[in-house]
Amino acid sequence: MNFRILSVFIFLLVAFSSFAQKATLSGYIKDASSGEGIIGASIYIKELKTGNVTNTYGFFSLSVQPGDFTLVFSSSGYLKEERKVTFSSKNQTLNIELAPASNELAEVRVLANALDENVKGIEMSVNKIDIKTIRKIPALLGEVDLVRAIQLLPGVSTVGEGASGFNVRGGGVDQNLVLLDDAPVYNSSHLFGFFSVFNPDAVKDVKLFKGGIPSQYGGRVSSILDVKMKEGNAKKLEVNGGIGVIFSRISIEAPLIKDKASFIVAARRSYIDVLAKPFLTGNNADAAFNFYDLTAKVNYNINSKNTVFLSGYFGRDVFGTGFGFNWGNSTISARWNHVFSNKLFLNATAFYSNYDYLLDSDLKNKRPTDAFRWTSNIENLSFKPDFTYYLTPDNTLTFGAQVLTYQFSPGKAVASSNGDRREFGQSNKSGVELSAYVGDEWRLSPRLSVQYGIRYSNYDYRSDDGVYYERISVPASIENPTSFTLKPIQIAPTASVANYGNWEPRFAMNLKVGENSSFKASYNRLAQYVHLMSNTAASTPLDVWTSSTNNIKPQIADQVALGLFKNLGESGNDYETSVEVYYKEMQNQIDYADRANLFLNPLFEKDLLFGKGRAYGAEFYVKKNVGKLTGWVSYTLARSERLIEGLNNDKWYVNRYDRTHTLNIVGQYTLSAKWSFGANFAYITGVPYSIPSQKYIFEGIAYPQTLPGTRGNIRVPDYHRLDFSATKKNKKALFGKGSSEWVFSVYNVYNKRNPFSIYTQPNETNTMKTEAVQLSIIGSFVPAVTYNFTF
Amino acid sequence: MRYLILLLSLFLFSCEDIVTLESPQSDRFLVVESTLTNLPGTQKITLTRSQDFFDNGPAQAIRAAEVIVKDDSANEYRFVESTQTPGLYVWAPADSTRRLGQVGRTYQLTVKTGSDTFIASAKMNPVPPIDSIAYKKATANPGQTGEGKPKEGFEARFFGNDLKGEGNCYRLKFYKNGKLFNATSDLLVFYDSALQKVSGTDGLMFNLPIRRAINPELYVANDKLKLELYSISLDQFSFYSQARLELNNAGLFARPAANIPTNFVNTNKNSNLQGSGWFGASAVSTLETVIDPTKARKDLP
Repeated sequence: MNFRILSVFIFLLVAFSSFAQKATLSGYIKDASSGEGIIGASIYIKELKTGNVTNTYGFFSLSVQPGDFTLVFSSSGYLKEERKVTFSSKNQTLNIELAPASNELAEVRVLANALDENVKGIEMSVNKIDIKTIRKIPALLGEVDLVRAIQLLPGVSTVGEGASGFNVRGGGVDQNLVLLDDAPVYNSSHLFGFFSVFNPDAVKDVKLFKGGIPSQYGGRVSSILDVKMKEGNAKKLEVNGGIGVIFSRISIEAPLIKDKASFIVAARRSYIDVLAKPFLTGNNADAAFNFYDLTAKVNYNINSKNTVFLSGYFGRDVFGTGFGFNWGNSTISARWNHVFSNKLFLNATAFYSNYDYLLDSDLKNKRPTDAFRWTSNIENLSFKPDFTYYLTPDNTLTFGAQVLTYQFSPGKAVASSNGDRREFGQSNKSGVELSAYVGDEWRLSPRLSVQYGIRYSNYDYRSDDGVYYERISVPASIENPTSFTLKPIQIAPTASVANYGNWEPRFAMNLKVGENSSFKASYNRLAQYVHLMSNTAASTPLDVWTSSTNNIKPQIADQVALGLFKNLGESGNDYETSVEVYYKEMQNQIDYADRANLFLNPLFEKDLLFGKGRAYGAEFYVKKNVGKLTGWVSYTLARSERLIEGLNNDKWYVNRYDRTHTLNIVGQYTLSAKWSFGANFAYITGVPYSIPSQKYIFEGIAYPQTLPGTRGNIRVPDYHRLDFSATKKNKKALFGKGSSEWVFSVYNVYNKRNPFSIYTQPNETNTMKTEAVQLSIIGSFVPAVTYNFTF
Repeated sequence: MRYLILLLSLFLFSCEDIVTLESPQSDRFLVVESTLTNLPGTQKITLTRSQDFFDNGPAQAIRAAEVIVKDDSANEYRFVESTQTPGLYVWAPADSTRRLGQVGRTYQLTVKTGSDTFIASAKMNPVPPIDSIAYKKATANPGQTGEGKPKEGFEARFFGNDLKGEGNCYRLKFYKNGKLFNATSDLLVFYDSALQKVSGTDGLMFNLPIRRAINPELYVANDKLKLELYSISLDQFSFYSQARLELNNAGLFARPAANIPTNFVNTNKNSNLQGSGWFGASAVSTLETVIDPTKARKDLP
């Protein structure tokens, strides 16, 4: 099947190459100060009133009839550049460097040109958030954080403060494909969910796809968070760093060969443990309590046709004394950019990704005779070539394929008691996901553009030890309330147990409906072959990723989104506004039976219940781009529910991350070259919770009685919070070089005890009495100071 | 884990507030509470009615019910309502050395009240002995501190072996100077030699987390520490495990509330009144010791 698709691509390639020759100009647009490729910079041909934008590597290609033209190169935050170019019939190369706007006010003035992308572009349900903007948002404990910043965008929410991951348009945390330089990151959080794994000093570009997902992406059903790392300054040595309350950061970037090769190395480490030391006594005195990450990348521009990149991320959270656990991601990606002809661009990526954790009762190996040690991991190895073929300035074809292998080691435990050692857990599994896609973005007329494509994905599940399980119905019992049992079946080891194939059509269109406004519509289907087994309010670092199997069917989501986009103001683009509505249906959603045992249980598939989900909502967004005051207001009205056979009396119930209203106001005010201020306000409906209906006294304790059909019978009170920050820029940094800034921030300014959850419990002193307790993860205002420097 | 959460709380400004909520509307249940044992003398069964979740008044007793226990050896034991405590039904043999319970037998409870007849059954499984108790000098950790709790003292361990055969389940009750530790976190049940139901721990010495679970606070010299090990059925293990989960279900990683199972079933299918609670049968091993500082061990896992 896949070979057939590949052969179609090859045919297309040959067919397009034989088109009538036009003049083609291609090249890279780079930042003049750092040599970094600029993503999404626009190239506009004045005479033809058409143009194109650079890809993720800063590459562009334009094919037009031969002639003399004026080209305008621009990108937000850069001074624009005009060039007269003679297009002759032979292929030409032109590399452009754009100078960054020197100060923020100038930047604001030159911005406007490149800002109509949200109206003109085909993309909808996509949020790009500039790292410069992220830096200005008041942050918890002063730590600039990418994942917390995207939670301020319409359609993005979380189950609560401190929860890992994020939820996009009513989807689960495992339904987001988080990519760091094309490699998936399985746990994007440090310290449960308070900080994300991305070091802001090493991040170049962040793009979140919530809908209208192009065919080049696949593998998760709700969203794609595409994070690109910086390449490293190719012009000069640059050092960035910061000293904060929670951690310190340092990054070094420098050319290896000027304008040819450069690198960046960025590291962070928390020092809560260092600060906590005086408070710890006895058994806890040597508690490890930290997290760190290291991000590194090198690139080498071999010649105008070939560039190679190698990047890696290694991070880990460590908690514990004698007993403890640690978890972390590592990713390595190697990429090769090759320009075949001026029209055909290849990015070939090979990546490795690993997420693993360890839980150990005896970290220091003091008593191997009485210990418990549990390890789990998920590993990916992949190769994917992605081609872009620039047919005309109005028509760009993308196609490619991917081989993605999964190795699941969901949980192995070794338990020793008094010297007797036993091993148990879940057996290893593996899977191969093959996919191929083709997509075309075509500006049919000045008013109408379409993007259409299709992706085919195929997943092959293999049980490594030659055993798989068939789910058989049995009468429910107290010990087994699910009414399923598993029957082991032997096959040849590594033989295929289940194979799934899915066609995933993608479509998006943009119809210009007036000056500076457009109507957009999109549809996409996505398939997902991995599932996070998580039955808790917030996902834990110990949750297990598992494969689609003969029992666990792939998740499939269909989403339709419609939107109106309009830009307003003096320059035409001072304000961006948009309204989007979406409807999403998800098949093969998983929930868990009462008493489900998901950890180290080889028969966990027995405890799973299956059903469907639906999510719908409306998102309103207004953004102010220019002036001293910039920022945005986003409001989302949404619902996310599921219907699972065997749960809640087989009635629909709201997901634990369902938020009816979400309002975010983010503002940034530049007072002078020295002082700037940021503020944000959030108002969010509380998440649903369940409380028991009855109680009875059993052996002196009030036992709760939860009745079926009462999921989500209450909601946690609404959440609201105001944060504030002030940044003072200094002319000089350390040793009188470079520049620096002080960031003063207050999180939760008016000291609101926002509830994360409400739970019920017997009273501690009289266990026959019951009470409801509201838990606030951050129950006070949190001031912080951070010092950042660059030289 | 608890310490880690404590550590986290210290730095993340978390706090808890008691709030007032209304109880959801629902039907009431008839609740049984009983553990028949193989110990000589009186056996008890309590019958109450469940109440609204946030109703902190006394539980309503079920009076004048007919309560009979039969075993699979054709013995019948009639339980009589206590004159002092309404809803408490008692079997009190004239000969106080007489035992109701015997390992290996299955007991069938029948409760008749109004037009409803509830039944439950329980098998009495064997129980291993508690081999020994040992203790060492210790300083209270954050989980062991609190009002009236000693800061310096002794931490105890108990030793015993799971019986051969997978799926033996136990409950351990522990007392300090005759007072049962009965906080929700003290509800200690185990499966073979581990706290969780996992295969592969059959027949081993009770594992370290179980051995050291008897120290919600430290003991001091001359404290009397008493342990009672109850055999319970796999179903009762499920009951207690679920209860323990539900009673301690809080925080960032709380699970959706689930029902605690019951073995007390109304045979009248037309009735709205359902059963709840548990009727169990346990063999019991007991061991007690008085803390003697001179016998404290130097090294103890």
